[in-house]
Amino acid sequence: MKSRLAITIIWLAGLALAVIVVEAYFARHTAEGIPWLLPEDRPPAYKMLATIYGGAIGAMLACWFSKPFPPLRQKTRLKQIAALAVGLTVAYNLLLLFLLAQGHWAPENSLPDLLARTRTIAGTLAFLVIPVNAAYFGMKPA
Amino acid sequence: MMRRRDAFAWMYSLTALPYLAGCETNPARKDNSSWLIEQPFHYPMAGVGGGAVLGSVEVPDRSEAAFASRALVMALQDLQHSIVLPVVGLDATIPANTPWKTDIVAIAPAVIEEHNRSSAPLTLRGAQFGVLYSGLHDSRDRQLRYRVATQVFQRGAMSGQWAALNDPQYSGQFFAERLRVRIVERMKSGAARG
Repeated sequence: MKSRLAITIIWLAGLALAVIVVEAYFARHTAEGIPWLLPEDRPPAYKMLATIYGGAIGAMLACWFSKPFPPLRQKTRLKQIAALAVGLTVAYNLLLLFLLAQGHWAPENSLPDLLARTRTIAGTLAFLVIPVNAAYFGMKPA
Repeated sequence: MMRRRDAFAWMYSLTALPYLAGCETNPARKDNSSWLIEQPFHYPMAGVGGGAVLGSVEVPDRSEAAFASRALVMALQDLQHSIVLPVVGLDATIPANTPWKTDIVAIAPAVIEEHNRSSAPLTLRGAQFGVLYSGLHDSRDRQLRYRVATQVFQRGAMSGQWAALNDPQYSGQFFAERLRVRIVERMKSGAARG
């Protein structure tokens, strides 16, 4: 139960930090005083963030309520799966944040390009977290 | 005493005046008068004796349409624009009376400063700005005519796309004038003769 809560918090914190990273772009200006982003850029940016995080967080929250998989009998295996799920989720979320923050030190990237690249990489590497998260969250309690 | 019908007619005509005069109705899309340029032209060997025809540009025989188009395309290229509508062939000829439209090109900070200086209180600030030209040209009745509309766009340094500037905070006339000067230069320099 604790691990489930931890993973949920990791995902939600990851999303919150992603929002902060993206919002930080709106607060920055070039040396000539031109803002990096205008308020008009916000809706598409948030739409893209929802695409990146929405699937994983939505599936995880759904699994809190519906548990389609049978329970694991061995407690040690359950602990191993929990550790694996936590580790992969932390690594995956850190990678997403790193990708999203790249524009802060390489502002020649446009935000839509940056978000599109992050979404592609997130989709490509989703196999690392989605199955283990789904299995862990979707297991019925023993 | 004015009759009610006459009063209505007066009110109607007063309301219609700005439209008839071609005044700005949509600030986001600034049409600058009906014709921005009306330049008379003549063919070679015209005029009185050896004297040049004053106030008129010389155009190769029967090629005023191509001349008008070349002058426009060259002027737009001077401002780093390319034509996106209609699709222009290798001869870069836009048919007369065909609406044309350019891409959006970023405006240099020096030009923005000049705009803000010369068009006060209209000011462009707090973003990167780009301009798009659209219009029409015609070469009938011994006149080369150009109608030009300008639209200014804005974006942030990291924004992917331009957003149309809807506030009436810029002078379309200023940007149209930049194009006008270049079209006239191209017509008079003879570069558009091909």
